[in-house]
Amino acid sequence: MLFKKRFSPKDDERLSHLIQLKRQEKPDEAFWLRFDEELRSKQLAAIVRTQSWYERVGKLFILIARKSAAATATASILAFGIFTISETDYFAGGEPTTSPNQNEPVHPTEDDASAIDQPIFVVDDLHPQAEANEVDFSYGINATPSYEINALTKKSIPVNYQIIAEPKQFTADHINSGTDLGAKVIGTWSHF
Amino acid sequence: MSIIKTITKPLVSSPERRLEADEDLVIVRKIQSGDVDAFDSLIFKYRERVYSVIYNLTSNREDASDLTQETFIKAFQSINRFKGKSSFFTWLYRISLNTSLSHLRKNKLRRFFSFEKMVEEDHTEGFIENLRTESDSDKAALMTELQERLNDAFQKLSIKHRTVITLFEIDGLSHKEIAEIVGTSIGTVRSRLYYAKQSLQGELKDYIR
Repeated sequence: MLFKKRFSPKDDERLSHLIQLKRQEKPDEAFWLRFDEELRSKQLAAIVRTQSWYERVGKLFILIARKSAAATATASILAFGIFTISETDYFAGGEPTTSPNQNEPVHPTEDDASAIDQPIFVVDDLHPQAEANEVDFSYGINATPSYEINALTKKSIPVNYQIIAEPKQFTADHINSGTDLGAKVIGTWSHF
Repeated sequence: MSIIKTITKPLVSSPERRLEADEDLVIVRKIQSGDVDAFDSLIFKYRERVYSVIYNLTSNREDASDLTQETFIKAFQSINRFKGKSSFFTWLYRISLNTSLSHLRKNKLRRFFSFEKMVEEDHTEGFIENLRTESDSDKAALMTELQERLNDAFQKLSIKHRTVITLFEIDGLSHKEIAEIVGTSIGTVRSRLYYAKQSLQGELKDYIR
């Protein structure tokens, strides 16, 4: 076997010199030019690949955000709707807050009008002193079949209300037919 | 024991290597802080040495070129993970060795030189002396032939032995540096060097006697 044969230190030195001849196996300048060129393009490709990876992660986050945004928006709309309904005093059984000094009707803007298909008219409280703190529309609501209230919402504090109803006459048959309810139509829009 | 004494001669000046390591670390910090162009200086500084190590492990120029590029790409991609616990040089060499060893394991049966072509030729004791006396063209031919024999002898070594003999005899690293790069003890490095040399002496006896 090769390993069993001992070599002298001189042999070892000659072997070292022989091996070191391999140091002379150096590529020429053209090789390095080509090497640098290839390495540069590989380096750029590596950078691009890295960006693509981040982009992919980024896109994933955007996708998740978009999907959750739709769900969030839906939930928000539902929550807002529930909140609005629960805050409506007439449906919740509460009393509207009124202020006797605010008699000016609030007219809806063009945007509001375009968004509403239902006939809407605004009534103004004629007797703010008497009914400033307590406005009871229950008799109006129950006064069928004279009119049907589709919606009654507080438009602004204190005494202006929007009533979505048809027809636009206000009567309270169960009290006294033709009784002035202390309100008058001061403005309508949409179909009225 | 005489062989071991011979191969333990100091080849690398430690203060120089430390200075080099400090300079490299400054460049690495620049790269880590976003100056990616600074990596070019490290490529320029180490490309020949890395290529040389890989070439002597693979004995194939094309493979060595590709693997050297791969080494630098890997180093570039993971430069932010370099904490400076070892020198950049050691770290880079580790990458180059791992890249080469992985390549060699995949291509175990691949041979790059025709041994049959060379065994028919007459190699006399005066072969190396002839290198000094022949004309340039003859010298070049002899050198090529000798290098091919050397490459072939290297390919017959195990990967572990080939690695340590390359790093020690060709790249001129110390036992300590090789131990750090390879991840073994200095004693193991010495042992591997001893057996690698024994093997090469057997393979190249026509040239060294």
